[in-house]
Amino acid sequence: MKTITLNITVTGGTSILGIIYKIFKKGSTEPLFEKTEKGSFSEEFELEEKIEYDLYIIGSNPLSADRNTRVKIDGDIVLSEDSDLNPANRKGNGYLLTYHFKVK
Amino acid sequence: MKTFIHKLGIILFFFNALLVCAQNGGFAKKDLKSEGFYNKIEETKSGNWKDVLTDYMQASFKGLTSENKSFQFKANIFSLRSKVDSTLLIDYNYASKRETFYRNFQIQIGLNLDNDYKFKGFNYGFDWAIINKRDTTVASLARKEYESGENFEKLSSALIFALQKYRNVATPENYQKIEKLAKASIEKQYYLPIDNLPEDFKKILLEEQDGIDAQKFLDTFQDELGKLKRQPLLTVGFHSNFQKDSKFLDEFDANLIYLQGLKSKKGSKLEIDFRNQFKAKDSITTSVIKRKEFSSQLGLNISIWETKEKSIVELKPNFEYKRIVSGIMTDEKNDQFLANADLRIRILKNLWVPLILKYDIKNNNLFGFLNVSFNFDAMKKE
Repeated sequence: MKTITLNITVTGGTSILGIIYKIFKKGSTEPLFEKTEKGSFSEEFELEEKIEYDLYIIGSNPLSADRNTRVKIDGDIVLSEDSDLNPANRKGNGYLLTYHFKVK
Repeated sequence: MKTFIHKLGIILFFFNALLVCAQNGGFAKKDLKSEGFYNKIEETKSGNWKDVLTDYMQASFKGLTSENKSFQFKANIFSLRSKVDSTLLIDYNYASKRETFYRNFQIQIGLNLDNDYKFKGFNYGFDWAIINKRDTTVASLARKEYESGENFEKLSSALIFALQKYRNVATPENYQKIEKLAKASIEKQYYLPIDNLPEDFKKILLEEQDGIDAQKFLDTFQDELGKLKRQPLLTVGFHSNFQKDSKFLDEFDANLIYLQGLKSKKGSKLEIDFRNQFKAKDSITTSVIKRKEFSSQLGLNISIWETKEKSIVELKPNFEYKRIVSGIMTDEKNDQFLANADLRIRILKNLWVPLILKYDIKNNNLFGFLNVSFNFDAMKKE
């Protein structure tokens, strides 16, 4: 098992509608981990080595002009080509980020 | 005339110095995690609202054209505390119960001047907002408090499940198209509309949404933002003047002010303004007179010109009833009815010039009072 950390930092105010994330084992439709957060958070997960996972994050930014949400995943992972960048910054009203990765 | 200009110059210099000093003491953007949060509250408030309860600090000159002029400085306790501890401006601290109370309690100090701008005495007082729903609403506009937040969570959760299911059955190309579409849509409007989606994905998404109406979510959310602008404010206040040769509490007033936003078709700011005041004053010249008066005002503050939700010009027509309880002057009537109009013009971002016109309906007398007020931001713009 390896520890993977998901860090989400909201700046420019409070996430107006919250942040939702779910982690699935590839091919499964039952989430291994899922949570809804109001603002910035850091969460650790124990994931199996050499297994592929899908992480989805949907969130809302604050209402201000200088709003931003920064998403960063720390740990021994290899992201697939169709994943979003790590780390990523999002400044829109809301955002959907998808990460498809294999734990080393 | 020369002396007058000289004195006015000194006062303006003092006023400017105070503004510069207070603004320089503001917090840099980087210190203020809740700047946007704070600014959003600011945008929803009228100049009339800020004259009742300052958001941070306010300096004003009152009665520039009258015999009784005064310089006033108002600040809420939160603003003074945050000067010492800048972490109070981080959103979760800002929204705490304790800081909410401090934000709702303002103190006032100032100088009274005569017609020649000579020092007459001091003024001081406090106001406490018993109800200030506009602040608490913003503070709790977090997901759990509102239906739109719950709907957002349900819709987002449904979309994630649908994407994961679709990823397992669709070709990589088709899945990528949907993912790209969903990302662009959420960035713009928080959710993915089902119109124009490929039938296979639409079917999965509708199953996952299980009757949650996405349009209802968006309408509810917009409606909640609209409601925010119409929340009420109720304040009680006590103010007193301390003049030369007078005793403590020789002159004071107690007031109760209620402001309530109204829904307008065009979306402009409308505010019911209801005020009651009790005033007591001892005459310095004749110790016999103890004047007591009660006044009640009802008006409607209208934002007649606004850009991007910020009021530029506000007009408040209002009626006032005044009852002289004791200490009536010669040729004065016990009951007075006045038709008033307050015109507020925003000269600069934070500088308002309120002109108050009072018309005595029975005696056909017109009075005018010109004020200048400057509202300080909590933070310095970089």
